[in-house]
Amino acid sequence: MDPYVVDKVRVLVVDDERAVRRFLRTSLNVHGYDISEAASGEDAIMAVINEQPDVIILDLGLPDTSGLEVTRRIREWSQVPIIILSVLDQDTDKIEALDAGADDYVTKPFSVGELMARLRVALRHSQQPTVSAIFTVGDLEVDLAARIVKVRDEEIQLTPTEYDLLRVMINYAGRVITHQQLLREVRGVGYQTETHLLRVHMSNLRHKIEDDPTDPYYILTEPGVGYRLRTDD
Amino acid sequence: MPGVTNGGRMITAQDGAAIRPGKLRIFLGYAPGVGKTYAMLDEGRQRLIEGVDVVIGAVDAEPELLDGFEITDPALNVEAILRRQPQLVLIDDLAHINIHQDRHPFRFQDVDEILSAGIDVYATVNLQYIESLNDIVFQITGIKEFRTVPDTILDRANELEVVDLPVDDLLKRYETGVIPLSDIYQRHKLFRAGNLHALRELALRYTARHVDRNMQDYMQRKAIAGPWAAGERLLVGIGPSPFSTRLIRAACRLSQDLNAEWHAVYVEHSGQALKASDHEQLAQNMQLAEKLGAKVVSVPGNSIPQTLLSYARDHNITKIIIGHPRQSRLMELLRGSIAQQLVENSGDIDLYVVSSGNEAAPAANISLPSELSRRAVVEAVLLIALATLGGLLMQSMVTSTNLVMLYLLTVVVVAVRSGYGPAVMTSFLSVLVFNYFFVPPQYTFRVAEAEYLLTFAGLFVVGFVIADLTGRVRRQADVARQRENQTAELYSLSRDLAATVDPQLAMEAIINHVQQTFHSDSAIFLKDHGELKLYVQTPSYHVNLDESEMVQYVVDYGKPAGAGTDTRPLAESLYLPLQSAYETFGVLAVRTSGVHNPSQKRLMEAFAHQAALAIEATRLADKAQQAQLLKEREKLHNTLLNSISHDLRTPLVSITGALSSLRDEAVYVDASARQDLLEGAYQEANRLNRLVGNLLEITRLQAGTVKLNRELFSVEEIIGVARRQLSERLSSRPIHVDIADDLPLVAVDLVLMSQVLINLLDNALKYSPPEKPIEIRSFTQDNKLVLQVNDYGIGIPEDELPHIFEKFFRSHNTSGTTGTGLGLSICEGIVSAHGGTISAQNREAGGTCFQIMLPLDESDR
Repeated sequence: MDPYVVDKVRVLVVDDERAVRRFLRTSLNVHGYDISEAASGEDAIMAVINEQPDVIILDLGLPDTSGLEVTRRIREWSQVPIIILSVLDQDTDKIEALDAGADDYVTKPFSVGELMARLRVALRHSQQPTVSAIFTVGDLEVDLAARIVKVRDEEIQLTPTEYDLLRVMINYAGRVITHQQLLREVRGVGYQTETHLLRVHMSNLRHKIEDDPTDPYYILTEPGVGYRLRTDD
Repeated sequence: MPGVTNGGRMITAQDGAAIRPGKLRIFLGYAPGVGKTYAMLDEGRQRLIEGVDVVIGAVDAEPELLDGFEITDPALNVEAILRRQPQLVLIDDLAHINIHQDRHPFRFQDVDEILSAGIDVYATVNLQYIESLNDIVFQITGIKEFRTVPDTILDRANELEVVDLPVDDLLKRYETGVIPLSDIYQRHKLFRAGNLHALRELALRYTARHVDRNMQDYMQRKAIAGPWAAGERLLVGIGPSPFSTRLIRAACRLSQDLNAEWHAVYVEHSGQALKASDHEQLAQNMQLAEKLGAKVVSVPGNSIPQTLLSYARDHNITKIIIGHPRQSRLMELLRGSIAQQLVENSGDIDLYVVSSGNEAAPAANISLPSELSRRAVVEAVLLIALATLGGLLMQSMVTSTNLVMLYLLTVVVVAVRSGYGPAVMTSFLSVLVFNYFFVPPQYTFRVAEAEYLLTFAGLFVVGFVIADLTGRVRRQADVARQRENQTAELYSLSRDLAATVDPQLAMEAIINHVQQTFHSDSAIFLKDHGELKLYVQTPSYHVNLDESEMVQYVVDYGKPAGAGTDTRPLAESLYLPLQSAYETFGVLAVRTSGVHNPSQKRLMEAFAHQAALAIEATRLADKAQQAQLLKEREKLHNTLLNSISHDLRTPLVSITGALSSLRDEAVYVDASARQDLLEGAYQEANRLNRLVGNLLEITRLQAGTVKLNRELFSVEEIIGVARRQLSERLSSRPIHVDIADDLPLVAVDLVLMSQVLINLLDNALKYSPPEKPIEIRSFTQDNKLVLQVNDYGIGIPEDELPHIFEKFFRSHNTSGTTGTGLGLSICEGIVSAHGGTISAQNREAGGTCFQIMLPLDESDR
């Protein structure tokens, strides 16, 4: 049983494919979630109003309105976590949905384990928005109060920008963060086009904290979308 | 087949379509009221009873006579008939003129079109409308019929039937008013017994000759030896004179009697400047000759007799027919008549000279005023004044007869500057002025001494001759210049066309040249999948509503239509067919502005010909290329189908199998077996996913819809993404990464480029032993980023190396492992979309080295 699930968590599954809904209902029931379903964008919005779900699993390709549009409309009045289901060739929509406020995504076909991990992170984030002063994953330890970064107890010297990158990613730990979001939070509004500078800083940061930058462990690249900081799950 | 029929056949042959032309039966009457229409309807009814699908095209008769027939339209509606496709159409009065010009100006042209569509026609005609009999009938009755039917259409008739009625019976019909004669016939009492007898005889003779000719044709076709004249060929010289029409008719009759083919030749004489009215007359004459079945040509030449003779020799002409228009004795003395020159040089070619009779020589020859522009006159007068002034100044030193030289000089100058007319005027004026100022008694027009009359005559004649000579030289130069321009235009068109391989560009070049040369707007229509489409047009060419119909007509029949042709001559444009050796594939439409002389029309036809060749060539090249593409695509589709049916089914077999045993036989399956089945199914599902992904990817690359989302990335990041994707399978493999320190960022689509690396790593995993390491190396070389994936595997046979990036290619070494043969071609597609190259080679140490080279932009560093 998921440690964060106190009451039964209500999940709204929005997908026009009956087979996908059926498989999700079964799998999520096993993990103790309470499921409601919607097959279209309009139904989804009605369901969000009526049933107040704790988290939404939203397919991007819906028959009426797009998942992106549904995300935008929900975000006008609700901060309920949204996890996007997408297929490979929907990169642009996926990023737009994330930038519009969706919390994370999984690419079809996905394993239940992957989806559960995303769900847990999203729920944790919505229920415990503040992070503790010390963040650890693997051999990496970041003291946010003292601004000290250690790998295997050895202090690492980071430039201010590198540190800011790491700090913002810790805020999003476990969740994907798009290039746009990262730039906006590190450099402020107006710097969202400097993605190549972002990559240079990220490369430097990896060289300092990763054992093998060509096979990173902590900072994972989500190709075409952004980055994801690993958490101990 | 010789003879006029040749002409007739020529037209049908041009009709192009493979349809067998319909049969024509003509009911010929020698005068109104003999019962042609009735006879035709009678025969039509017979056919109707026999079950033939008969409709009435246009018959003017009492309604009760038409009972039982289907009538398409009260007026002859060719389109409706072509749509209706009956077996037989009845059409009254071949000589009818279509006042509204629905399609063709003349009804016989409508009939021609219907026949070409494979539909039989019964038609009627009266004797007096037959073109070649036109002037004989005129001689008999004294009435000139202006609507005529060309003999070619009668020659086309498979049956010509005289509807005969004794003259007395016919007269009785007239008297009793059974047959209402039109006023004009009544007034002139044209159809008197004597006349009618003559007409009846003429009709019978004409028909007999027709039957005779048909017989001869038949004998020739069947190679039966018979009494026909072998190889007679006639030439008739024609010109821009109304008199030529008589010549043409005479030649036609002679050719029919001789069963000989005949040519109507117009010599485009450089010394002859034609006026607009001449052009019109000439065009009419040419049309007439063509209608009568002649081969009409226009030949440029300096001397009419010489040109005619050389044409005759080139074409084995046996008889030449020319006219003998009345011209002044003086002209004949000066130049010698054409007939005389021909007689002197014709050798064994027979010469027929037809006298002009009462018809006046064309007045067109005396046409001075038209050449006298105001500027030329003023100039001439000023020059004469100048000469006179000079003469007055020199009068004391020079004898007055020598002052004539000043005036001769003036005449020469005027002739050179302004041409024949002003020069003649100048010589005339000079005589007057010279007389007034210098011939004693001075300042009068009187002449004291007779010897001055000689001076006048000399001045006038010399002036006249000079004027004539210089005028001729000028016209020759004009004609030469015109020809040179035309040749140059054609040359530059063909040069431009030779340089283009793109059909669109070729067509644009054509309409540009048409614009430059004729100052006319134009457009090109081409057949495209059986439909006619407008391909290019000059900006101000607006397509008319009825234009598509005209264009369709030209394509269907392969002959020009529109302005100045037989079909809709009043249309705004001239429509010229664009023909290849096999078909008419398009139309060049030219908005002609007004009258066109023969040489201009010829040039336009030459343009259309050039255009057709060029478009055909580019289209053929295009077709070949498309066929190649189609072949490749077909091959791809076939292989894709094979791939889908085989490679995609295999994983499904394992998945379905595993799942069914778990569902149906769960009780018999123990825990470890269940785990085994599940693991197998899961892995196969993953493989299926990869295959589908590959198929999608290659389809997108193939279709060119892949849009690169290029951004600057480090090589490490690309490798990192690939390694993470394959982390499960790579975890048990030693991976050696060797990356140069100073590698620049490279602009790539991260998703696609990491896919390349994933595919290469996947290959290395598949085709090398599990314990052997895989090396990834990256460095720069010649401003290019190099990325290598090396394995210690089985390698690739040398002869297969050039093919491994081809779609669906699978090495023989890989039998036993599964795959679509798409992975490497996807890599190749992605890398080349990035402007890079990918290659493979076998390593000396064993195994394969795949190498990607990506261009580095200097500014990216």
